[in-house]
Amino acid sequence: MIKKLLLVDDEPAIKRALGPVLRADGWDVLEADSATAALKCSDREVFDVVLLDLGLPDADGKEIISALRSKDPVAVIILSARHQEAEKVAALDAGADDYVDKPFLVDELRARIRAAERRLKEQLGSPKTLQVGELRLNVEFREVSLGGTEIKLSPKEFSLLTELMTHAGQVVTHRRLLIAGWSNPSVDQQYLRGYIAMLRQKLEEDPSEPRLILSEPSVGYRLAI
Amino acid sequence: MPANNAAFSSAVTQNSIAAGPEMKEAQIRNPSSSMGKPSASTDTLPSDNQIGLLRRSHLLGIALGVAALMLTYAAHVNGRPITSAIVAVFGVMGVGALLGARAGLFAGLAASLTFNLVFTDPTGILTYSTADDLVPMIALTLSAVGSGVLGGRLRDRAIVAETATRRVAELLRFSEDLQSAVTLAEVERTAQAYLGDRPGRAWLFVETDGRLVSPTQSISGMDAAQDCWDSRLPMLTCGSCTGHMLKSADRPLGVLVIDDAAERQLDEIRVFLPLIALAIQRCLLAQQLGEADLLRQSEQFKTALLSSVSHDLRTPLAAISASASSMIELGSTLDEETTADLLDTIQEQCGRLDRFTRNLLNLSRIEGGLDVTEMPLIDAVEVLGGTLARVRRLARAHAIHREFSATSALIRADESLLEQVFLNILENAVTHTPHSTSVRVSAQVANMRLLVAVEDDGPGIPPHERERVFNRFHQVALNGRQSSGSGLGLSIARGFTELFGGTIRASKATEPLRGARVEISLPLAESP
Repeated sequence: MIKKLLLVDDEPAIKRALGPVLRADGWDVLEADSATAALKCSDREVFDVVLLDLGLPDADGKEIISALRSKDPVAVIILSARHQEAEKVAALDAGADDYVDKPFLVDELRARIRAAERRLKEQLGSPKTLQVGELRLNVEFREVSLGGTEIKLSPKEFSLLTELMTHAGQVVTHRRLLIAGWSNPSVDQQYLRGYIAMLRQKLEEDPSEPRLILSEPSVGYRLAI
Repeated sequence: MPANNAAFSSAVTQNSIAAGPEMKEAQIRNPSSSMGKPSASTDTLPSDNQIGLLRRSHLLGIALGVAALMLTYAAHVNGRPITSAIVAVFGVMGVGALLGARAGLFAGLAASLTFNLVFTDPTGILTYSTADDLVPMIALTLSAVGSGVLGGRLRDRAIVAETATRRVAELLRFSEDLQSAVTLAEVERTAQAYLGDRPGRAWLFVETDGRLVSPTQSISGMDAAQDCWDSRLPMLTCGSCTGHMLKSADRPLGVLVIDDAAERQLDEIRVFLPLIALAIQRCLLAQQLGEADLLRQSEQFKTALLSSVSHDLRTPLAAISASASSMIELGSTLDEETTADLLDTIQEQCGRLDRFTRNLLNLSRIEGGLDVTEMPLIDAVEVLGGTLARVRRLARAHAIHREFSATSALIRADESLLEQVFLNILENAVTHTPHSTSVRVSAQVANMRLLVAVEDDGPGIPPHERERVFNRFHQVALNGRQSSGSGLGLSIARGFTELFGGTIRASKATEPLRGARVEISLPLAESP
């Protein structure tokens, strides 16, 4: 099956720069330079991934995220030149899977696209075991092991790790983690920080310099893959 | 008895207004001239208007006295002594009412004396042979004097009340004027205007950052103000001036220095000073609010600038970074055409970054202010031609047509800034229209002006947006989802055009094009 990607950006230079590398990765790339064109494209075709610029000439990219996702499972990755954390969080809360700040290296973008693909696949299969690198998590038996060694986690730590592993490689907002751990997004983020620190103690080689659970300041956390 | 008549009337006039009959005649003949000039008799009376009023009442009073005397005499001659006495008493009361208590007293005494000497037998001497003679005499005297004095006091009270009303009205007007004063200089002017119809002046000094400062940079009165301020006394006389401390409820605000000549006339000083203090406090508050507002605006400006700069720097950087990293990643697997395209993108976006930074730098040049008279004479058509060549290289996807009817146009301007104007307008046309549409550039000279118009075939600018597109960060401010460009380009183009004495405006393109038209009009330099 050919993978389809929709690139929504009104900046010709970006499209010109990204086209070759995405096609080389095996993507069938379609381009749209406005929100209207993007919605029209998604009506006609089924995409696996949408790369979406927030600053479109006819609408804010945020406004079309839910419309893009409404029919088929699709991963929406935000390309943003306006690095306002509040805006990123709003886009992620509106249903975007991830974001990449402009300017970015193609490698970074490709990694995000791969993470999104992986998440899509897992979503379809809803596996009982999640694996990221050496880290393995069994949802059914609530077991976690790192390189074969079993790790004891508290129920909250387990919920948080499950959420991070489900979205491995993608950013997970504070809000989503709070819902996963506390079922309440208005809980003080201080608790979240505390639990993340405990998870790092148990999983990271050097908790003061985490390589597994990465912070995305003011937005959330990302489990490195 | 004409002689006595004259004596009666002269007694009244001499005592009441201390002016000879000749002078009164002069006033009757030419009353308007006397109204403007304060005379010796009115030196205690403050306003011209009131002087006129009193003059009229003086004349009326004298006329009434004379008329009463004649009526009294007529009644007496006709054998009506009671009528005669009553008329005399009323006359005295009238004189008192019109001329004041003192005049009333004298008129009463004079009337009583005249009655005794002239009308009662024997005439010429004061005779009191029986109690029947004495009692009416005393009664007449008392009632004449009493009614004269009472009438006079009524009149005096009325004048005092009128003066007080007038002062209150003046203070009210003053307070209203103070209300409309928004700056300290206006407060000072209002205070001076209030003292204006009196001799002398007033100077205001307000404490600013620990120092006394005159809002009008006045030097006179400064020493007196400083002395008063340092002494912390409510008032301090210093030479021919007096400094008055102006206080709000909790702290001293400043000093009002009033010239002594003006101050002597100012009996409402206890009301006058707090009114000024209040106005100063209001002005200071308004100033602080204004500063806070300015600060907020400049904060907003900074936010808009930062957001715009970050967007405009990151977009080309993203294209450069993506292109370069693609080439590193994929390297030899890319075909020649793709590689050339990626390299092209990098070069093109570098040029865009360069233009953007130049615009930013130029923005600060506009803010700094430039002197157009020091600029050289340049050929604007030549600059436009050069700019067109540059734009053609940048916008290969557009068909750019030139229609120049002018071959040269000398204007006084900076060449690089003028190029920036043309470049920004052309770039705007190119970036906001689809590929392979056309852009038409025309230049013509008419009425000592060079008209340059850039028209495109894009979506155009809606009428209500045509003025706003020249606002700085217009796109950002509009909806926060600008596509390309920072909204700086057109604003900079306008800034420079106006600097060169020109105008720039947007409208609709003429057929066959249907997009936007931006027209720059620049004044030609006077031929030397």
